[in-house]
Amino acid sequence: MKVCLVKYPAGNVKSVEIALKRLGITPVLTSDPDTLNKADKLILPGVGHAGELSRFLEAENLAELIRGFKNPVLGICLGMQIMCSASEEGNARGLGIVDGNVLKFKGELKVPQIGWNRIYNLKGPLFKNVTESAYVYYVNSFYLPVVNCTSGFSHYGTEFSAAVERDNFFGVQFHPEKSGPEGYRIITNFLSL
Amino acid sequence: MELIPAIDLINGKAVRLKKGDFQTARVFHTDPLQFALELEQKGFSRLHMVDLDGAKSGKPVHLELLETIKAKTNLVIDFGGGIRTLTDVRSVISSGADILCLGTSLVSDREFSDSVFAELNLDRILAALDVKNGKVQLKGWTVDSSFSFADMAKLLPLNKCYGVMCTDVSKDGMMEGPSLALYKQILGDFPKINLIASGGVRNQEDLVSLHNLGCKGAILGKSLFGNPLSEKPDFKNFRLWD
Repeated sequence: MKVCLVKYPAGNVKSVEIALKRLGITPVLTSDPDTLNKADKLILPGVGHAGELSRFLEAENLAELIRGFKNPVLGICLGMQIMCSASEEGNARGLGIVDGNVLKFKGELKVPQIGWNRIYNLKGPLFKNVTESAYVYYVNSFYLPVVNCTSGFSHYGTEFSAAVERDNFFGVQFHPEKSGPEGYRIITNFLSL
Repeated sequence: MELIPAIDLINGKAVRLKKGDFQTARVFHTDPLQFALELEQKGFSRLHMVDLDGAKSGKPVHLELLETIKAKTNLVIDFGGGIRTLTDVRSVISSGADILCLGTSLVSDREFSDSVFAELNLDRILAALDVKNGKVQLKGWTVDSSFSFADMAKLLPLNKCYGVMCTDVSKDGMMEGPSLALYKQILGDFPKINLIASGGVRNQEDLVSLHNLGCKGAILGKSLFGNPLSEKPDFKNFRLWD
C-alpha cells in the first residue's frame, strides 16, 4: 500500500511518519502531483498556517487534485481545517469538501487548546473499536463547529468537530499520532479503508 | 491538567538533582529508554527530557536517546537543554521532539528567537522561565538575572508559544511541595497562558492544588518514586485530570 503525506513548505511531519512506520508503513512525503495521484491513501498532516497552506495548495495545483481524489484522504488538525469552506486563520479559502467555516476559540479560554480531551458521539469506520469518550491529544487555536459532516465532537468552551467524514474524505482535529493506543487504532482504521 | 514525568540526563543516564546542583546528581535509572517505556506502561502520555549535558555545554548532546525513545514509545516529548541555535532547533526536531523547551535565549538572542518563531508553529515552542528567589535564572540556573518572571515574560511573544514552563529552583528536587504562591501570581498576571509548574511536587494533594490554581501541567520528578524514594508514588491517575 502506498501512503503519501502531502508535503508543505513549512511542514514537519516527523510524528506522523514515526507513527506510520511503527504500523509497518513507510510513507512517501511529497508535493509532486503525479506521485500523489497514484497513492492508495493520502494524508494531509497538521502543521502550518491555514492562509499559507491554502495559497500553497492553489499555487501548486494540489487543491484540485485533492478535491478530485478518489481513494481515502485523511486530514489531521490543520489538514482537516483546510478541507472546510474557509478559515478565520489568515482568511483562508478552504478546499470546500466539508461545508463549514473554521473559527478561532474566543473568550476566556486558553489558546491553543493543548493536551488531552475526550471525543464523543463517534460515527463511521474511522472510529471502529475506538472507545466512546476516549481521550485524544489536541493542539489547536481554531475549530470547526459541529456541522453536517461531523463524525465526533469534543468540548472546549463550546462543542466543536473532533472529526468529520464525507465520502472518501476524513478529518480529525486532534492528533491521532500523539493519542496513544486509541490514536493508533484510528490510524489503523484509516489504513484499512 | 497534564502530568508530565521528567527524565534529566547526564552521561546517558537518568538522574535527579537538588536545586539544579550537579554535585547532588544521583543516578536513578541507568537505562532512560527502559524508564520511558515504564512510564508509558503506567499510563503517562507526556515526557519532559532535560539534556543536562547539553545545558552545560551549550549544545544538545542526547539526541540519539531522544530519537530512540520517540521511535519506541507513543510519548509526546518536549526536549530542552542547550538549544541555542537554529541548527540545534532543527536537529532536535528531526530527532523527534514534539515540543522544544527554550530558555531565556528567546529573549536575549533576538536573531535566534526571530528565526525560531518564523520556523516553528506555536505548538512546538515551550518557553522555560525558571525562577529562584523571585529572579529568572540564566545559563542553566547558575546566574541570577535582574528580571522577575513577569518582567521577562512581557519580553516574550507569548502568543507564539504554546505555554511557559516555570521551575522554582529552590523547590526543585526537594520534595517540599510546589511554589503555589508563585504560580498564583503568574496566573494572576497572565491568566491566559498555559502554565506548566515544575519543582517540588510530592503527591496527589499538590497536583490538586496546582490544578485548582489553573496550571496546565505539572512536572513530576522525584515524586515518581514516592517519598522516600522506596515508597510507592501517591497518585491516583498518572495520565491526566478532567
